[in-house]
Amino acid sequence: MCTGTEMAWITAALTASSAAAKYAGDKKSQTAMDTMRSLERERQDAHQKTANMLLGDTLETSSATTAEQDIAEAANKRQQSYDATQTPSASAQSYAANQLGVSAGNKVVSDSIASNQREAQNYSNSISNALSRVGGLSDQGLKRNIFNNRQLNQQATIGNYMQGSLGVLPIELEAANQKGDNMRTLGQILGAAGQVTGMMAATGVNPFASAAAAPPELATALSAGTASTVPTGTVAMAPTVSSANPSMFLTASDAAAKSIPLGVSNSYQLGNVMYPSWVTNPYLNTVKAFAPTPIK
Amino acid sequence: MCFGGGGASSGAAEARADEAARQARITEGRRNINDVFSTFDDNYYNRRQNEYANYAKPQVDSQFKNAQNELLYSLARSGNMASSEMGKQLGTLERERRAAATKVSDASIAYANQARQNVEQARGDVLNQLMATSDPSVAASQANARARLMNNYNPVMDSIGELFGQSMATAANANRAQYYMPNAPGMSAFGIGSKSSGAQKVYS
Repeated sequence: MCTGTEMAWITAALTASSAAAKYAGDKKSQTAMDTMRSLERERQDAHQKTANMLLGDTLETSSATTAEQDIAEAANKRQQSYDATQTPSASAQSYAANQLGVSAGNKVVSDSIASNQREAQNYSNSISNALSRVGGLSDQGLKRNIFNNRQLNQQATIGNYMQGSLGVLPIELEAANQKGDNMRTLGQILGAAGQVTGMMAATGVNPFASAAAAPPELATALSAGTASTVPTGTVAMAPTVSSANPSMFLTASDAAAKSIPLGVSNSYQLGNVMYPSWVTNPYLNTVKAFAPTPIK
Repeated sequence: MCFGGGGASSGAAEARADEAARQARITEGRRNINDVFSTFDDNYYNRRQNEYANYAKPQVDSQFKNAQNELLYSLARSGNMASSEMGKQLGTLERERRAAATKVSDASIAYANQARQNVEQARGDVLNQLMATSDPSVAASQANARARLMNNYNPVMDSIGELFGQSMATAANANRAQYYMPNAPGMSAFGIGSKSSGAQKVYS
């Protein structure tokens, strides 16, 4: 049989358990959400690392030194192409001699032709060398554009991956938040039970009292059939407990004398001792704390 | 306990799996596209360059030969075949010939570079389609189609133009000058026989 103090302790225990369960549920949710965020952070960091590497490659090859090297390389390639097309023409003097019968032995003519041919070749080489440098800049620019566009495309893909991954996070956080629902629900149940027991403790209802807590004499008498049931209304509960009346129960005569309404039922009389019911009567309290009242 | 949480967890896991699958499809699609466009290597662009060179070089040679003939004939008519003037004029022609060859080579390189730009543009377009659809099969088919199109592309090549204008102009001017100079050596446009023979008489 639970006394009022015990009921209070039960209420406190249920309330504390409720708070603990809710805390555990919140903690579980928070841990799960933190885990999801941590995982997503790792994914984002991995993508960002890849993006940074691509950017690093781009920057590394964007310096003026690299540009000069690329221009020189492209210029050399162009010059090789120019040189490949500069097939020497047939000797103009030989052609003139063969086709027009011009004497090939005129030294003035020969020297003039040779000199002018050399001048033409030198001029052409100079122009083609310069042109290869000019064209090399154009080639280097094209090469850089292609490279940068490809890097940009890869960066865009990485950005797409990061956005897509981030888009799933809210769903995962919601699911993680629900991981503590069971504990929170348990906490709510315990809290509700605590409220109920609290109300019982405040109002004196003891749902846990049982016939097994009856005094041994009464239990024996009940089983022997020697205890008689006092009709309803024969025993009243004392409005106050005092030293003069340590029991909460009045005798029947006292109740009649004081015109106190009777509200106790199922009381038992054993000899000259009145035992009130301690199971279902809402007006009963911690009966065990009080001595049974002898009937006067 | 069996109340709450299970549906949300499975939904989150499914969403994460879907996202991972989407990224995997895009990665596979990029790989397919790169494989298709890897066929456009230096050999491909060298072939484009040679195509233009093969188109233009015969024209250069032809124009040079004509210019050379015209120059020499002009020199012969003007009686300057055995002179330093011939060397000077032939030197000018040679300079023009070399410049023309360089110009052809330059144009062929530009042609190849244009091909590079076209290929890169096509590649970028297909990658954009991949990102929009996340479907590697669509991207692969588009990549193959664009590659076939570029392999079979035969652009109209512009004429290389007049390359030996200076020499030809010199010869033409010399010819015109001879027509109006009755006492100049060489052939006369107003009479019969060589001017240098001195047998002509001018009737005014």
